Amino acid sequence: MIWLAWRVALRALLREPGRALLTCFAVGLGVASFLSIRLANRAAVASFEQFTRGVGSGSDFIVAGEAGPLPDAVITRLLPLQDEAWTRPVIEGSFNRAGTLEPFQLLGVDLVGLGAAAGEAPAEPQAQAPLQTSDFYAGLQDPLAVFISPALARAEGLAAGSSLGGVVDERPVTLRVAGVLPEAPGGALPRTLLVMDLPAAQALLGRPGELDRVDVGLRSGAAGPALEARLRELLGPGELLELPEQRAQSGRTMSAAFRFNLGVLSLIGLAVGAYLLFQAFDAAVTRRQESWATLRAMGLAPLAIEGLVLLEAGVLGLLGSALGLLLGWGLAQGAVRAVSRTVQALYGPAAAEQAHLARPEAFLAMLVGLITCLAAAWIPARRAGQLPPVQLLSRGAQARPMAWGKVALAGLFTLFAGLALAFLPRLPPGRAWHAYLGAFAVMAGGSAASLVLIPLVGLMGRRGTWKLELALRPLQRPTGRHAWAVAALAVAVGMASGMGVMVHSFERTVTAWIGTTLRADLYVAPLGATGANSRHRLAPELPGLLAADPDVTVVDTFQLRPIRFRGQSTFLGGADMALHARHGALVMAAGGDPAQVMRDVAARDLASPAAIASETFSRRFGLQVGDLLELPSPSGPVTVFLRGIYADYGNERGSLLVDRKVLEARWGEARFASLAIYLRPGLDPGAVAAQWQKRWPGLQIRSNAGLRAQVSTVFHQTFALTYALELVGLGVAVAGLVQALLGLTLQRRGELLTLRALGATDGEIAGILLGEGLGLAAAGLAGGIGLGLVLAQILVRVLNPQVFGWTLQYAVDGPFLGILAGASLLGALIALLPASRWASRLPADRAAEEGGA
Amino acid sequence: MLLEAKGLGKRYGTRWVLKDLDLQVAAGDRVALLGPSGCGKSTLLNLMGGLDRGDEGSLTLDGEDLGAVSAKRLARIRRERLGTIFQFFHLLPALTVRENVELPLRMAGRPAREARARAAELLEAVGLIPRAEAWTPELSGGEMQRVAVARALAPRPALLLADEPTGNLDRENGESVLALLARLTELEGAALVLVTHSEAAASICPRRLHLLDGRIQEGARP
Amino acid sequence: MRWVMLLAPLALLQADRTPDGFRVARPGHVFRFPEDHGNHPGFRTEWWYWTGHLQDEAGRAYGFQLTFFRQASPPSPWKGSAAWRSDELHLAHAALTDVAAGTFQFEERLDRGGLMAGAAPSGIQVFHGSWSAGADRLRFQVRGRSLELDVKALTPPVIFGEEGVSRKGSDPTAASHYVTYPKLQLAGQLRSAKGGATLVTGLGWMDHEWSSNQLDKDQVGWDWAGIQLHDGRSLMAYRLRKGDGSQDPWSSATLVDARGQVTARTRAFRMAPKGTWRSPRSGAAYPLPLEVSAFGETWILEPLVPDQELSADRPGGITYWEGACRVRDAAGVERGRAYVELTGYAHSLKGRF
Repeated sequence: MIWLAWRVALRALLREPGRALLTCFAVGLGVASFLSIRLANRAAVASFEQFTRGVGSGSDFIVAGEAGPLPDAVITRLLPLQDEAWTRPVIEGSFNRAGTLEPFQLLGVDLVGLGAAAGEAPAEPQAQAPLQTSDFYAGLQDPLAVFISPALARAEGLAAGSSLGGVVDERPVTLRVAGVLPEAPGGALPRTLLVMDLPAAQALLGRPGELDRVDVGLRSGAAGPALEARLRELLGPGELLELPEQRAQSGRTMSAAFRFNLGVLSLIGLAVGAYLLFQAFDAAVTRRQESWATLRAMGLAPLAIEGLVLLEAGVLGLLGSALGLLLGWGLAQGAVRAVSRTVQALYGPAAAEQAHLARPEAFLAMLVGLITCLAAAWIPARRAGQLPPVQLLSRGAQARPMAWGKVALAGLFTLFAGLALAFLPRLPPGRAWHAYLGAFAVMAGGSAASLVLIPLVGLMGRRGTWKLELALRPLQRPTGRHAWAVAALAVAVGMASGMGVMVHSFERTVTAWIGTTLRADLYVAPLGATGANSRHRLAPELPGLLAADPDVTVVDTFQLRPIRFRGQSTFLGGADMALHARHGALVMAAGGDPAQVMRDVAARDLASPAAIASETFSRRFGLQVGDLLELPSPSGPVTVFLRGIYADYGNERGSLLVDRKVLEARWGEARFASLAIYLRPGLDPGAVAAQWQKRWPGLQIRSNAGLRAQVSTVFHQTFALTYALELVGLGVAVAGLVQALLGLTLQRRGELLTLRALGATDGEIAGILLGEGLGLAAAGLAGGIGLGLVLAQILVRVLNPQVFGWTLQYAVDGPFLGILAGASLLGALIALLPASRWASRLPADRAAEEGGA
Repeated sequence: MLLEAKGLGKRYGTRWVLKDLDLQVAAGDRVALLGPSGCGKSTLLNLMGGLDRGDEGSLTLDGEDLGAVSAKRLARIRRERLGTIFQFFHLLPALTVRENVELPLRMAGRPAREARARAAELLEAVGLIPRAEAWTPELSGGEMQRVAVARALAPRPALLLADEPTGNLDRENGESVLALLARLTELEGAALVLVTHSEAAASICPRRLHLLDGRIQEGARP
Repeated sequence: MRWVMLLAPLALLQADRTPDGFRVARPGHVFRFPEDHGNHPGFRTEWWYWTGHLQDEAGRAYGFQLTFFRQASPPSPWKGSAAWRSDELHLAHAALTDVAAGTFQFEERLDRGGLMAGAAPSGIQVFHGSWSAGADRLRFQVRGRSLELDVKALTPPVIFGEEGVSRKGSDPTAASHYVTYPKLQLAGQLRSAKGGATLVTGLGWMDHEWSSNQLDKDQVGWDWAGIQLHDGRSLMAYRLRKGDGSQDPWSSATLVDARGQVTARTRAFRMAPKGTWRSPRSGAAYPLPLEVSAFGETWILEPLVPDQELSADRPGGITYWEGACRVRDAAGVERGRAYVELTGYAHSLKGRF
């Protein structure tokens, strides 16, 4: 029935552009929030993966150190394999640009050998040596020569001969651009990649004789398994063999939890949008029910009518999704920066600047938008098809009161089932599907259970003025429309308040933790140490130099060494335990009095050292106080005794702490990641900091207050996106509320006309409609906040510990919830005011045309 | 006999709205069904229109027992053999005047040219050609009902059912619509069953039936 | 004019170094072994070069070449690290000629000095990756096949040139120190790619040359032949070619007796093509077979396999022909074996050495 379909379903949309646009916009917003997060995630991961892969993919194996760098000499051991495989030694370091402190990844590779490998491995994308793009010896004989990526060259107008100023470790350096790397066919080189000749990089990083890894690739004709076997024979203790995919994988898994959370959040917009869409379609069917019933009377089959409704929904879905694509792409550009910044702060260099709209993503977004629309229109379509022929269509209030009691009860049951699902099963760390499912069940059930509040609010009207009573009376026998509006608002408010409580709990916990642990006056680190994966270190002499300053009473040191433990990458830290026991503080989750624990660890001798683990570490590996852990070291496995478990919210990868002398003796770590300085009482830390800054421009020196502020900033930055998404959800819900009100008005048409006939003014009628809308809003808010508190229990008590491993103190921020409620009500009021005024003025003769009595 | 009811009965719950009803409408007949409100006129009209089935007895249209055929067949019959005019017009606001008239033919699958020609013919007959491309909400009540008449006659139905056609019109419009109904049904050779409580409306029908307590009482044939 | 004469020794002193500071091969150098077998980093270019003719148990003939080149980078304050040197680049060539199969395979490696490649300061001890050569051992792989040979010198080292310097042109800096073992007894194993091994024996030749300037300004390449005659004598001849194709008068040929003593040296000798072989890859036309006339005798050197060209696929690499040949006299009787090296035919070598 194309003729009918075009005219009744589609052309009608064009004649009511306002409503069609509103629906499109709802779909578009949902799709946009979903898509933008997906794109941003993708971009951040892609750029992050590039760093874990490093320059020159195309290797078949990677030789790396389990607990530190590899010695140069490993190359000599691999020389006998040269007939079957080429080798490429790599050293990695950090460089931060002067001024912006933009973090760069510095790779040192043998530029001569790179060219040789090119002939052997044609699949090598970046093996085409820089030798081809610049004077051969320029890169080789200038110890500060670097090759930059085409992206950086283009963006900053740099070329051979330009200089690049910045910091390495705690020293300012000026690098000289020797050339631009050739563009790789496999994908754009990251902007923040710098390539240097190997010995020059080793000298610059202060790590002579060290390598971070050796890439190994098969020559043509050689067999992989045979080579792998020979490689394993040649490796020594503390050296391991990896596949490149494993490395990329580890990069992906590191941020997987974070990205998944974000992805789930992005569904808020869609989820709440689905409620809105359902309402919209339901209202549309009701509005057009006379036409549908007439067609039934004229003999059109119910399936055909359902088809017409679904067709309309489908077209709106496609249009809305297309709008969503545009919006989403635009939002993604902003989101990319936020996501990148977070990934960078938490995990390592990630320099995504643009989110590209790849075809599969666009297709997925369109599909999701379309399916959401069709799903939302499904029930209204069936309802339209089951309308009786128009003669039998009862006039008057068609909206029959719904069985809210049964629905609310079912909802309550689902809510408890969700709680049970989230809290009861004990899953290995990292897995949290039960928490997500439980949260979903809680949300669905909670929103349904909120319906019980509608008649409660309705009953409150009994004691008010005639206007209030008229406003709230329909709520005593709520219809489907009331129910959907309240449920949608409850979901949106529930998510917002739930996340809010979780964030607040987090903040409270971290603040308390900082309050206890940050005791020093000044904190010193390399200037470029902006993220968790920074490789900048302080020279071994620095603590001594600072301690010599008469203003300084104590210099507490902290060292860091990335290691692999049970196949996963984590950190081994070194602290002066005895010193820390006296001056610093840790919050112990297990093991006893913190100072005692640290003294015990300091007292152990080198032969049988002890360690303390952060909470995330212990949960991740299932450890308890008293366990013996085997750690890889350059000289072979070292067994440490786990003496305690401490709280640490600064690093979600988890870390293990040993005494400084153990780290130095067994791992050879002589450099420092950061220092905590205690000054003589009465001194102004700021003045001392300023003095030192002049003397050592490559250091970042923060006062206690400054560090706390920084932690707070990073914290809020991390959650910036969460806040944004919640706002979107709320906006959609309020829009839904407005739509609901318009529908309800039509529902009450008869009554309102009677009122007007009895002498009520436009303003009074508007007031009544507004009252009904606000009553709904109040019910939705109350339900949502209750739902949010329950949801927060799952987030705080189950999700965070399972996924990240740390314990949070559940803390409800009353003021925040109050503001949320107030703001939502205000938003509802602002939206409902014009709507109610407009609705009250619906002319009387419209009633006839719409089929009312 | 075009339409014949024998012993027709319909109840809602325990209440029998129609009971033991006998009725005969011949082709080309014009019959008025009168009775107080709530007496079951609408119910009988619904049964005649194939929208409901009786609980007792039989109702045949052109020999087909409307109580026995499938819902699909009923819909088909509604589409092709019956035309209905309602008190509240029930035009589709999404379609123009002309499209509303074409609608039954389109639904029956007739070719576009045929539908358009028939619509033009009928609109001419009801005097609304100048308004053919207008949207129905723009029309006055009388105009809308005239479009409804054209729509009802479009498939050349054997039987036209009219449910209080002038119930929503003023006297002048009502009279002109009634005159139209009389003339066109005669012209098209369609039978007409008119349900009304207005004597004026009934006046166009030579036969009058009174419905009382679920039974028909034939009125005097003038 | 006396002060001018005072300047003369200074002028001589200046001729000790190239303009960029490398040492020049000077007459009167006293050779000390094993020190002079080792690395001479003061000189710009150096190579250790082995060739040989082998036969396996079944009588199948092979030829091989193993060369280790060292090239100093332009002088610079930054020298890299001992493990990764920036002041020294190493190039190595390995080639294997399978006469029975008619195939020629070669491999090239380019690395910096340090862990990847190097030469000891004293004694013959050079390596490049998994290729290595010592005074009594050679070991290398080419395209899956590997060769391990025990080496025994049958004569003491021979020093070519006059007063210890092998002049290459009128420019006094175009000169090298040139030490050769013209007869080496070889025995070892040739392993195929699939793992099967055969015992091989044969006769080898080793050259060790170091200089800072091998070619004069107007020279484009050279033809070199190392001939091992069945009667025990050895002949080494190199012809430097000028841009117009003519033979530079500084070319030379030297005859060595069975005990390794130099018996004759001349600059008047002839090398002429007895045919042409054109390379399908580089398009160069090589004078093969090559006729060498010196010391009243004439020998025709015929390649055992025509295509023994090492073509460089790196830009900046050098393409040359180096191959195993049989030696026939003017009457066509086989009189010995030789290795012939022809450079500068695919492209000029001006400025490279």
